[in-house]
Amino acid sequence: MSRRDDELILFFYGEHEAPAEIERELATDPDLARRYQALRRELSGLDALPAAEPRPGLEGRMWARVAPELARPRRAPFWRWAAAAAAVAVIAFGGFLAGRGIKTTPGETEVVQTIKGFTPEARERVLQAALADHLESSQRLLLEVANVGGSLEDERASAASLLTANRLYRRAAERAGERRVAAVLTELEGLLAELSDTTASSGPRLPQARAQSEDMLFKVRIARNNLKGIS
Amino acid sequence: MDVAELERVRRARKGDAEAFRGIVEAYSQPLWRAAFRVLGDTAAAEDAVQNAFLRAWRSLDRFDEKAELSTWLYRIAINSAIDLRRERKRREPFSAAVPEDFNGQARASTEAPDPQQSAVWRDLADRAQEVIATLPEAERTAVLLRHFEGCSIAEIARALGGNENSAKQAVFRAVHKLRAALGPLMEASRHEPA
Repeated sequence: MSRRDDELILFFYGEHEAPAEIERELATDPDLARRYQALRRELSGLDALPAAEPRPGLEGRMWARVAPELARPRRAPFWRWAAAAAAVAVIAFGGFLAGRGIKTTPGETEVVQTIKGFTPEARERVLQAALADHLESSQRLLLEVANVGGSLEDERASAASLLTANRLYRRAAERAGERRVAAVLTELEGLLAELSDTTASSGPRLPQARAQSEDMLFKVRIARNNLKGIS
Repeated sequence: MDVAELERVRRARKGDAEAFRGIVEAYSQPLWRAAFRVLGDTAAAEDAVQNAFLRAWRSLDRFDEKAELSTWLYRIAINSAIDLRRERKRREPFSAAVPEDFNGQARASTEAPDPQQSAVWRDLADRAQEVIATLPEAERTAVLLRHFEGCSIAEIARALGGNENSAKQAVFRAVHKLRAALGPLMEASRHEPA
């Protein structure tokens, strides 16, 4: 029986459940032996990656660089986002209300005033819920893009609407120093921009958009789960 | 994770900087090597490791005590290095991809490399770094942990927060992509005149 490449990879890394069988077959099957040699040769290309030793005293230098930063609070309070951008507050609170089936659409000033009247904890909860909603909507869109066949015509409008909100969240995250969230939102923004662009989200770039969505989905999911961890 | 390490994590989680110092000192070197493989630049690797430790400090609350601290830290360090690489590429699109010291201090001091052979390996290293940097996060982490750090599939699964089958698939996909990129270069170098 000819072995699949995946089995040879497991064998190479010492993870195959029956290594003795593979060894026997390698000894008797020249074609399998050739394939395995090719795999070993190609993976040795990875060993061409630079290898070096750090300059002496790395541990001391590293501690000297890290220690002064440890005094800062572990996580920036989420409510600081509200102070970072009134526009985010509008979207957040509007989205929060809309997401809960409240029909009234409050004006921007009204929302900002309402948010200002909240306690920091209440602002945190509202913004957290709104960002979580945004990430969940993005997750759904990416899932559709990654899995649905044909053109992305239907997904274009959703991408455009998520893009606007995403920009505001991203800017607020950058200003608030939430680097991890900002990094995910920056990447998401690029993809949403591409998906909302008719020419880029069709034709030959379609497979690329699907692959990117699959990758992004993973990151958005983690960001969403991290938000759950805050609450 | 051994008892002493677990104790250090628990103390650091409560804000004990001295306990975190133990973690920094124990993991600076291995994390630096992981970051250097991605960046090929000694100073940038230190920056990436610093970022990684700071990210780890801020996220200690989310560290699962059932997981290996080393694998968790590797993952953070690799991601920090990739972020830095992307950032540098955006700023200096033509210089960031070239490792500053391809042969590394250890090898460079022992022998003078054959220039033609060096060029081949340099191409391979550039290509490998490029492919690794563009892999989806799960695949990149999986192959770096498996190939360079010798982590088992079970450990990779814990680092990725998934099951062993997903970890295996991530390794397979990454290896297939790397082979597709490196195979032709390796093949061409075999047929070049010495």
